[in-house]
Amino acid sequence: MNRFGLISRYPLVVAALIAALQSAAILYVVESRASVLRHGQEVLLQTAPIDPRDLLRGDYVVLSYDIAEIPTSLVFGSWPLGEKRQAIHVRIAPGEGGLWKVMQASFDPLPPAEGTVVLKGTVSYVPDRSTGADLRVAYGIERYYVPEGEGREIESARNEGRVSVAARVSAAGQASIRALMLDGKPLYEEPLY
Amino acid sequence: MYRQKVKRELAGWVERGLLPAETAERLSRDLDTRRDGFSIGQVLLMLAAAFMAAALLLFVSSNWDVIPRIVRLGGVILLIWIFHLGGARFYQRGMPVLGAALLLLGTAAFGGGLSLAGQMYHIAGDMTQMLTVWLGAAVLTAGLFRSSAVAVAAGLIAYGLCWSLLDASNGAFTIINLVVPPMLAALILVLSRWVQDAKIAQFSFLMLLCWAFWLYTLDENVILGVVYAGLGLALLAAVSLSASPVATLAGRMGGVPAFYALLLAGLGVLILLIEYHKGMALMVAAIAGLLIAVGALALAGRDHGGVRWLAYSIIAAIVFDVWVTTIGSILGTSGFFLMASLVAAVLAFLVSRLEKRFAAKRALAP
Repeated sequence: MNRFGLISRYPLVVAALIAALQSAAILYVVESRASVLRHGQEVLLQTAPIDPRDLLRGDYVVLSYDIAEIPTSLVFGSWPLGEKRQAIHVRIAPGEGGLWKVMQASFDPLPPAEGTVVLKGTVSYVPDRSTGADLRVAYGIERYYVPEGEGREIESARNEGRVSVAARVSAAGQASIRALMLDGKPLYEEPLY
Repeated sequence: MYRQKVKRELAGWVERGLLPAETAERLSRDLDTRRDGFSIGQVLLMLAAAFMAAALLLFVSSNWDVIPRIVRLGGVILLIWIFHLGGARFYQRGMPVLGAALLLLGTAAFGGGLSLAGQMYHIAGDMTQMLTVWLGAAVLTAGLFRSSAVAVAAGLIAYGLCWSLLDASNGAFTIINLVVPPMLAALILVLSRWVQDAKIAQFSFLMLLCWAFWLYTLDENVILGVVYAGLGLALLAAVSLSASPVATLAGRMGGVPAFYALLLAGLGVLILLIEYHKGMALMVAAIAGLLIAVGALALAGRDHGGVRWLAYSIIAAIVFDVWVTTIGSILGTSGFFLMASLVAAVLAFLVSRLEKRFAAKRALAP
């Protein structure tokens, strides 16, 4: 039993410690997201879905947002070049039909302003500014996990412009999906936990 | 395999009167009582644990909405506690295999819990973070309980993490994917030493090789082929020559370090053959590859069957490649093989002379 060192004397204590750490890690992830949903500012976004599968989290619908394409004309401030991932700040505000649109974006932090929300996203590739190509921004809300097999139903029900997403955004700019809507109605009940 | 081979040797020695029958009997009995014996019961138990781990992860992944997700989350956390405490209890009662099986399930349950949290809040693009946390937990459990089963799980998660890092980089050089894969490999190597299971070190070597190939795909630079071939041969010499300081350390792991060193050199040769596919360049690359394989046979071929097998495979692959692509013309290729044959014959003559001289010296020594 000597081979197991510390474990030989207090195996249950060590096991409980490990289990407590693991539980805490899971609950931390859960609560950090639940708090965004509880306190965040609600925004409504236009999307177009397709559906693949994740090995660990199962079927999901890929959501590509209108606000993910940002024209260079809306980007203010410095312009980092290169293939490296870059953090970007995007200010959005409600437009027609209650859908939120991009007002401006910047690689530097944006100050808060009344009636708008600042989202934090990442750009995986920053093209040369002079090319005028749109920036592709990921916000960490590009997947909607659904019960097995139901992704296809959403896909078949999909008709350009019928699916939208209600998300909540924390003060730090982190977005979390609150509900997936078809024709403006939520598809799934989304309890906080 | 090993056991049967030794027993055959023992029987042979007894027959030739080199060993008293009684000693041979005692040696063979000692062999049978070794702890590392293969037990089909233990293998089936670990298989059962691995399958149940898969069942658990897939259940989470199915996102079955008949059970409310808060209940699923509570269930997964409950399983983490049951598996860890149960595993510890079995260790306490001197049943380490059952204990290891439960700890493996506990580690899987933790991964399931993290996945479930990601699924509940539709988190996209944080696979790297999730796998890092999961790997940390697996390393902690494997380290504290010195469990090689959980160390294997850690090795697999490290692969997932490595892949997710390289995948996220969009085929670009970044500090992270230059530094992190070797660090992960080192971590698994240390873990393998700590849990006293040399097999786990292979995860580490194989990860470094995959990473080396990935680096080549980024740039497709022939320099990397030269570097890998040279480095592989140098490492092979370092782990095989008895004068080298790392030889004793590597010797404890059997033929594994020598095999992977030659595999790295083989990767280098492969890159050279991909880059140079005609004329003089191909001939130089092929000769270099053949010399590496022969050098490996001279360095480690006698002691390690795996190295022998790999060296023969490299020679066969080079011959096949040269045959198919041809050096300039079919006649030229024929000339190349004639040269290779003459060089091999001269080497064979010299080496057999040397071997005879060594054998004579050894016979005189005692």
